[in-house]
Amino acid sequence: MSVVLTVLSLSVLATVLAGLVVLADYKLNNYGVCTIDINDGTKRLEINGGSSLLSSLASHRVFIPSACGGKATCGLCKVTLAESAGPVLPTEEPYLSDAEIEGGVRLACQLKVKHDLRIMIPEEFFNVKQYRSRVEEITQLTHDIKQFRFRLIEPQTIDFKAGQYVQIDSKPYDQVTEAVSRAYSVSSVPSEKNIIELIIRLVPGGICTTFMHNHVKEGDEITFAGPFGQFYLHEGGDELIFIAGGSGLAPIRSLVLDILEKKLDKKMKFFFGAVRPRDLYYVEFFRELEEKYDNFTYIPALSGATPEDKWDGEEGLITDVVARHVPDAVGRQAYLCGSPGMINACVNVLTKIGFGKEAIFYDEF
Amino acid sequence: MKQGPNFKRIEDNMRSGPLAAHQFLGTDTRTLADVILHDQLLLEPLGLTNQDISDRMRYFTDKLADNPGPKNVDHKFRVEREEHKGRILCPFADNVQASKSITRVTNMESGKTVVWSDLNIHLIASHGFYEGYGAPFRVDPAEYAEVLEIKNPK
Repeated sequence: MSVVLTVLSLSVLATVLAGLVVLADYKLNNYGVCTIDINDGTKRLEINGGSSLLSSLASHRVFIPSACGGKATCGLCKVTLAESAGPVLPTEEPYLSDAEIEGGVRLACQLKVKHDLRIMIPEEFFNVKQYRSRVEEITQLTHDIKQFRFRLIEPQTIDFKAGQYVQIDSKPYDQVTEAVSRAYSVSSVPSEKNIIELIIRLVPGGICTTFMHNHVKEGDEITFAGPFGQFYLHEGGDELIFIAGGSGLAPIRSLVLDILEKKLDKKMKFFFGAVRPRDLYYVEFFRELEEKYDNFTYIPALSGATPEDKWDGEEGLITDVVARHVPDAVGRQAYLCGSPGMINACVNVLTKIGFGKEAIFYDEF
Repeated sequence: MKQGPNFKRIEDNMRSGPLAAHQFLGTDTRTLADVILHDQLLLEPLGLTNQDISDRMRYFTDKLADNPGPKNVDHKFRVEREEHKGRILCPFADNVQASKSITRVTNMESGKTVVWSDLNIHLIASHGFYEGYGAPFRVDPAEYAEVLEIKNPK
């Protein structure tokens, strides 16, 4: 009898404790309905508190750029708060300057909405939309790079500037249980409003690139948000120096095609760095443009060519090749897209040549 | 070996894949604690520490900091770097993140190659974690020691 009573009382105690935990969780983590005021009343959203500001905004179709999907590894989702919302988290610190912290800038992915907030974001974010699209064509460009052509379903057209990017949403696959969104530059020309093309390199272990390369087929439906980014043609510059490596060719292709299509009075030199011939793609495409247009020059270069490759083009690091072909910065702008290492090395070389920060453009992801 | 709730959480995070598609534990069914313990047991007879291994990896990775190669290092090793955009978080939730770039080193005498991502250097140095069997960046400590010719410092 005493055993039964003991078991019974322990069960009751466990049930009461579990109830208390549930109640505490509800009380402590229930922030109720919070209002987010954007740009001094331009938009006011009512959301259920408790989620990140990034996802709360996205659920109301306000899309803040985020190349890492909220993991605090890209630092793109900066918003400015009108009032403090608590101390900056250690995960945010690497991406915020002292001036930004002082000015109330926070990473939207790390900021949990616990009370009403007043935030400021660039006006162009209101133009960002979410799109449904169908994968129309997949083309293998190199051993690890594929091009994806998406036909828009809803909305049916997109307005973007050459050089901008979109954020593709992956879906769960294999053991990956979470969907993520990742940023990829558009490689097609803005005048083709009902399609976009993306060039995606397979990153070993990359959740979204593995999804795109190994799980997406022609005919599949894919959603994305965009357009985002400041990597588009800026005022000035009689000669544009484009430098890219790997999938960084994508926004450069869009920019070159857009400039040629609009017949802008600009000279263009496109440097594409690769290690071996197998890493080159779109070679014939750009050589044909070079033949056709006097204002466009294409300079592919290999850093690891062997005698067997019989490569008769430029050799060496892309930075060395640029230094050989670009004598000074007068009247020139530089647009870079590639790995962080390539971008850093190019910025160093261009700075030595005389380029100021205002004449060098690249995306931060 | 039993593991605490923290390790269990980290292991679940590694297996469910919110950080990387390749799963840090691959097809390994052992607990995270067992994977780490087993690798430390493999390391002991070599007379090496995780720091010795990760220092040597860092040595090669740093050789290509400004140049993806391929480059011959010390007349014996062919080193290449595959640079990728983006960064990845350490699955041990220590707020450390690393680039997604990859270093590939071939010992030209033996012809054997080892490959690691920048994050692997941190995983080995700080957590003694060499990834689980079946994971694409899994390399046994002994294999690192052999291919990279890491000598017992004593």
